[in-house]
Amino acid sequence: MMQTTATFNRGVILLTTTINTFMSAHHKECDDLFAAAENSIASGDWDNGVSQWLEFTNELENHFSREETIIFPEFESKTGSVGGPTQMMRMEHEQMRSLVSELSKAAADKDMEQFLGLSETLMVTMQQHNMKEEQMLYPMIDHAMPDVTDIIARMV
Amino acid sequence: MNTRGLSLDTIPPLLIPLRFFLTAPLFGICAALLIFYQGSDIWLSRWSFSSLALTHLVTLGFMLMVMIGGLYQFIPVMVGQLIPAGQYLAPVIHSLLVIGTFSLAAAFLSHFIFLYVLALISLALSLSLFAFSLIPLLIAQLNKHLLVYLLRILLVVLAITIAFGLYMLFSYSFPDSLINYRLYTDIHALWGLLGWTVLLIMAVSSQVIPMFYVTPEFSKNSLKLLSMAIVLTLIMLSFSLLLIKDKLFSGIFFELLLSIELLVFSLYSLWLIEHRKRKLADVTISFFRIAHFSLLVVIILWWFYAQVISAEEELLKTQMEFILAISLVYGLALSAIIGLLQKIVPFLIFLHLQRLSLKHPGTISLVPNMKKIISTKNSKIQFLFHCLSLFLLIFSVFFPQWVWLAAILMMINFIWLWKNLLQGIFLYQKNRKQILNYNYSYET
Repeated sequence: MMQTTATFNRGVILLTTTINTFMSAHHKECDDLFAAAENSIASGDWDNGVSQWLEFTNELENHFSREETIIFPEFESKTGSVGGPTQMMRMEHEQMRSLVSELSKAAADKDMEQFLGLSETLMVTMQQHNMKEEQMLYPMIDHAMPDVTDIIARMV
Repeated sequence: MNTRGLSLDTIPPLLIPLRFFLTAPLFGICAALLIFYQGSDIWLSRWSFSSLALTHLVTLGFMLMVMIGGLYQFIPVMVGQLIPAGQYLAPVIHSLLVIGTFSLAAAFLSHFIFLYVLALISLALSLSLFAFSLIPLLIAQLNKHLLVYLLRILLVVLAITIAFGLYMLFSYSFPDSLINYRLYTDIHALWGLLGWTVLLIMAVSSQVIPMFYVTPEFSKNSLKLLSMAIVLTLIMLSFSLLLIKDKLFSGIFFELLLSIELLVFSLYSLWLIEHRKRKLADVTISFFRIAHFSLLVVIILWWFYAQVISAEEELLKTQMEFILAISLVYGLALSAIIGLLQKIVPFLIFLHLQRLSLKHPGTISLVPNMKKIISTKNSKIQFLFHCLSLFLLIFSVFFPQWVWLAAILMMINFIWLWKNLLQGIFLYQKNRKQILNYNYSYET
């Protein structure tokens, strides 16, 4: 699965020249991994579910770190905007990390009720975070930095 | 893209959307009480004043109420700006909407001119205040998102519906003016029940179904075209009603066109729902299925109503009119709205508590997950009450002696909704206090 992911991302580079298309596609990819893990766990298949969950959390962390270590600093140094929208997004990453760690604990304990309650909460939190990024932050970044080929290349 | 004034930290105070969400079920309860009180007379004729009162208790008191609350919450996430002056305006808009809806229903039932005037003034004020606070955001937004596009169309359709409604209300308030009430009521109902209801569900579905259930996206261009086609067809249909007295070819043609457009939308939505990747059993998706299935029923019945039933079969025609209205309002709109409230309210409570807990380290365990705020079991019971009451309402149109049972089930449905929302708020207040009073010495 990880192999497919990387190939997919490389495929996207050839087609895209904006942060928005590249990172939005990665959101979708994370959603797919999330849905697969949640489906397995909801059906009681803990063995597959836990490994798919790990795959999702790795990809999600990969997404956050792309933003926190590459995209946001570039944007901040280009625009001089620190403590603005990117800071807000970092805070939301922390909120999601805290949910993810509770979820991983529930997965390890095989506590289905706790897992599904938290997974629903993470899903809605993720989606409204993604919407803010896709509707506002990524377009702002693409506007501030017309050429992002280098940045995208650093992310794969 | 103009990014000045954009902020990603835009959540309105919890009370702004919640006051609308918490009031709506009370209007649902009032509507059920009215059915119970009127008994089998409620389904006598769609021109009866009690059925007009009933329709407006549900459409203004429930649907519009939740929609305004929802927009206060949702617009900022979409466009990065709060709806201006919400803290001051939302309570005013809310109170005027409550007064306006109650006085309109009371006016229909009592015919006191004073109540019509009160309804006219408060509804006109409430809706203009809301429209004026929203317009700058929707005009200025350069953001090309599908939802912003659909919201603009939705608000135009709503404005046309309300304009016809206020015009008739104006005539009721000043009875000297003579207008053709039946004609204007037909057009008002066409725009409100078909236009507003369907476009509201389209806007909500386009956003919610792909996002929460990981389905393929709705094609943006198809939905833009479809929504525009629906509005154009409504315009043509209204003109053919206004200008051509007998129902001629043009009217039938536009009705056929409109029903095809609705069919495309409902099949498209059901297809997406079936292709979702997030497969787990979820109550909100069941509510959405019922909503879109009701729309299919509406389309089939509409054709039966328009083409098969002859003008002499008055009873059957009246029954069909009520079933169409029940399926559109209770089946399509209310199913989707009640289903969404099962998610929106728990999420808002979670969001506000989580924000608070970030400022008070060590309190994260006091933030309940969404399913601890409204449990899956309670949502499933809600779904059961909703389906039963929908079925009984339709059943009671044919067997009016059972209308009391439909009214009771409908009342239970709204009481259950209200109870679940209130429980959520109580949990919020309790945990908020605990987070604020959290003492570090309790740690370890």
